[in-house]
Amino acid sequence: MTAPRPTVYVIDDDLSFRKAVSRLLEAAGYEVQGYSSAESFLADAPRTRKDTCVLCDVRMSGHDGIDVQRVLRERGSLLAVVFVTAYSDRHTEEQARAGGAVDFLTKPVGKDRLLGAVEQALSVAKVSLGQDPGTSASRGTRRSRL
Amino acid sequence: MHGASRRLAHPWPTCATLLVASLGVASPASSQARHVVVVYDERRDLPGLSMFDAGLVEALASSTEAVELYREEMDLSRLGADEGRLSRLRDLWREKYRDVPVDVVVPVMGPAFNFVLTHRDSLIPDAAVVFSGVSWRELEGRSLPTDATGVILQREFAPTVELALRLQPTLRRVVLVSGTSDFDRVLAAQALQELRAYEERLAITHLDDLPLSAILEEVSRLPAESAVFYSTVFQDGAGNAYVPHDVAREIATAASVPTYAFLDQYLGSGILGGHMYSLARYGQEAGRLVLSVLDGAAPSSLPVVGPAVSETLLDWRQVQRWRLDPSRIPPDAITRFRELTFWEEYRGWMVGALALVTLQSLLIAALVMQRLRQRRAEARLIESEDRFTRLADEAPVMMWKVDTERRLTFANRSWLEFVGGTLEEHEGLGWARLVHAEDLERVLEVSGLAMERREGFSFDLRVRRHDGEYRWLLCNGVPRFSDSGALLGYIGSNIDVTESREAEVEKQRATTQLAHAARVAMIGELAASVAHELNQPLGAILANAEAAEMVLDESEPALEELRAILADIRADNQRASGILDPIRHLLRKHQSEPVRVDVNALVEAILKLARIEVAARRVSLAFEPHDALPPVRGDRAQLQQVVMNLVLNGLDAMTHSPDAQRRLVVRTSNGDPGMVKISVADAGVGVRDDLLDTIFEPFYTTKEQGLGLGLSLSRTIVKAHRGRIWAENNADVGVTFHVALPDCQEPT
Repeated sequence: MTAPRPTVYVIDDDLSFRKAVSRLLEAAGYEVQGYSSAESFLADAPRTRKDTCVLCDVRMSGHDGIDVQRVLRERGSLLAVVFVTAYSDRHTEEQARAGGAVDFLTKPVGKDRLLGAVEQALSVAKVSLGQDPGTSASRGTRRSRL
Repeated sequence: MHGASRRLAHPWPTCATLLVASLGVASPASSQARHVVVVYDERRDLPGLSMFDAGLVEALASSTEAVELYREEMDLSRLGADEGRLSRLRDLWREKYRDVPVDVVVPVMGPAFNFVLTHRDSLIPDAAVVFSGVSWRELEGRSLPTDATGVILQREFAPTVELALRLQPTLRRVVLVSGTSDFDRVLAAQALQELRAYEERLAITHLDDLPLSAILEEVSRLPAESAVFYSTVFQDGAGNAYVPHDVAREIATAASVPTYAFLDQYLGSGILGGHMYSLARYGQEAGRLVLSVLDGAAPSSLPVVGPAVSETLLDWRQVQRWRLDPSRIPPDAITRFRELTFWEEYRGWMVGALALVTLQSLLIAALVMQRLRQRRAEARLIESEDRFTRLADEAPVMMWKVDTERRLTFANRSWLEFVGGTLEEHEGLGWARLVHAEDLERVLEVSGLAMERREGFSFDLRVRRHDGEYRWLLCNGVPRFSDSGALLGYIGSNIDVTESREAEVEKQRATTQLAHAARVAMIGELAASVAHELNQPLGAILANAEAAEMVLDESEPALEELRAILADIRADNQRASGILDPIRHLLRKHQSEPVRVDVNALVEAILKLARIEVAARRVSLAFEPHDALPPVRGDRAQLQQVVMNLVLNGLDAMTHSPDAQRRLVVRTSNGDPGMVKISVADAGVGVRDDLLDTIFEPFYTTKEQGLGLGLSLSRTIVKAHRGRIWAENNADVGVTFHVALPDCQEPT
């Protein structure tokens, strides 16, 4: 067997977008774990692995994407985050980028742009993790895909 | 106080010689005139200083000699008080006044006084000094030059506390608002010191080191048993410069409790009042001293003038605004802005008017009596057809008579001129040929019914004029009876109402167009949020389509997967369409026929459309529909417009509300029988009670960008649906708008 496929955590409260983007990512060869809210993702708290990243909606009921980014940072997580939102505004984008977001995409987003951002996030994670060998392997609790 | 004044006044020896010396210098300005230089610590166009200046000018105007008045401004708040700048200022002024024989220098307020005393030797060494606006505190411990005198400024804060305690018996807390400039701090320190004497009874809070916006926020949330004391804000905690007068207005407007102040010029800007001093009076007092010095009196012989008496001043409008008990106003207080009652103001006129009315009534009574006698006499002649015809012919309206078979028996000259021809041509039922074919049946039916009931009638109909044009006439008929009570027929009149009818139709058309234009504008407001909402399904559709392409590229495309993708794309397409549905409804120009409208569904559609906007403004929205609501009949787009307008208004009203408070509740109910009610309650700023009707007037608006047409249009629309729209303030906070529409319970 080859090495495990890279995993993308997709956090979006819009079921149909989450479903569609998961299909696309899987067709492109990634593992996908979907979460319908910031809370469910943070509760699951998937450990950072070498080849993981987060694709996160910004505006969600409950905690929003910026909160996710902040909590990850506070926990010392090095997961790279790509935002994808239907409501782009400059203030939020600046906030996200200042927090270290790899990219800030606006729905609808084309395949090339999306996959490019995910690849970039994965490579960022590799670089960062090189300096942070302390992270353990995934807890192995796999949630259903959707 | 008096003792202190003596102490200062005595040690000054006479020094008139200095003054005389200065008069000998030749000057390029008028050599006859006397020269007075006023030095203001701030810019003179500040309201307080401009009032001082006015008082000074007023006093100097009574001089028998010509007085040249020069004004200099140190502008400390705006430009700062660093030594470098002040010494450059001194050099500039020295140069400026080098050849001017200045008689008196008038420094106004402490900083200017200090500046003049420090630099006078190198500035204008020979001029006498008449200061003003300087407090005892600022004079303490310094020796006054012999050729100086002035007006002491006495600021007292305690009497205002007494006033507040008297007007607000439940007062527990005083919030002192001041600024961060040197002057602000000096004043506030003194106020605080005097306030401390009340610490046992009052909680004292000091707001100074905050940005003005934060201060406004604070004072807007004070509990009822508080008062705001405003001293001055030249500069706020964020370092922004302000005109204290403007700040007074903002504080008084924002505050949830009465605002007191210490300077009479603030009265009228919304503050309640206070024990106040008047800079205009200080100007006058200083002017008087200047005149005495110019008259040759030695400054040292002129005692420092004690404090110009402060007065307790109140703004009557504010007394009413805060619902204070007028009987608690101290007897020595001066109440300004009191509008006299109608009777107080117009007593003279009213007595006159009453006399006139009485006289007129008597005259009318006399005339009526005379006319009654005349009528009785005329009654005997009234049946004379000849006389009637003559009178009727002179009448400017069309008149006619018909018998019980509705046959025309008489038409006056106006009538004949209108239709053309002679009475003979139209007698009998000939008139029916003149009536527009579409109106004839209705005319016969309505008049026939009236005749059966022996009642009068009134209707509009189109009648062919002599030139062939059909005109709209308003036709009124009253029944005639014989002495025995038998119906003889009808007598009536016609009025040409074509123009006003056209105007009415035009007005309706204009309203429809305006309503549509307003809907388009409203959609414009929502466009951004709708576009965002559309991005959700569009994003999913694109991702699905591209996923499908990738699936197709595989060696063995999974057909089931493709089918699922296509189904999802279709579902998202419908979702996008659903987002646009309410907009399509709103954009519809008009509906030709009124339709049955389910009010709950209508409100729900609007709330769906507004949902994004509501979320973007961080407002929580609740819809409380009544379960068994009967439908109404009307134009769906227009009714949606009314609801949308109320919802958007509600959101706007809460722009400045704290987040926790932002809540919009939409309710439907049918409390009144036969009516369906829609209520939209916000938790915003509310509307002044006396404006609750005015807000429905065209062009009345409180929004910066508003045209002021929304509510007025809503009223027009609701009225056209035979409904009613009104607003009332909620018991706690915000406004509720109600729309009541007649239901259409039909057995269908």
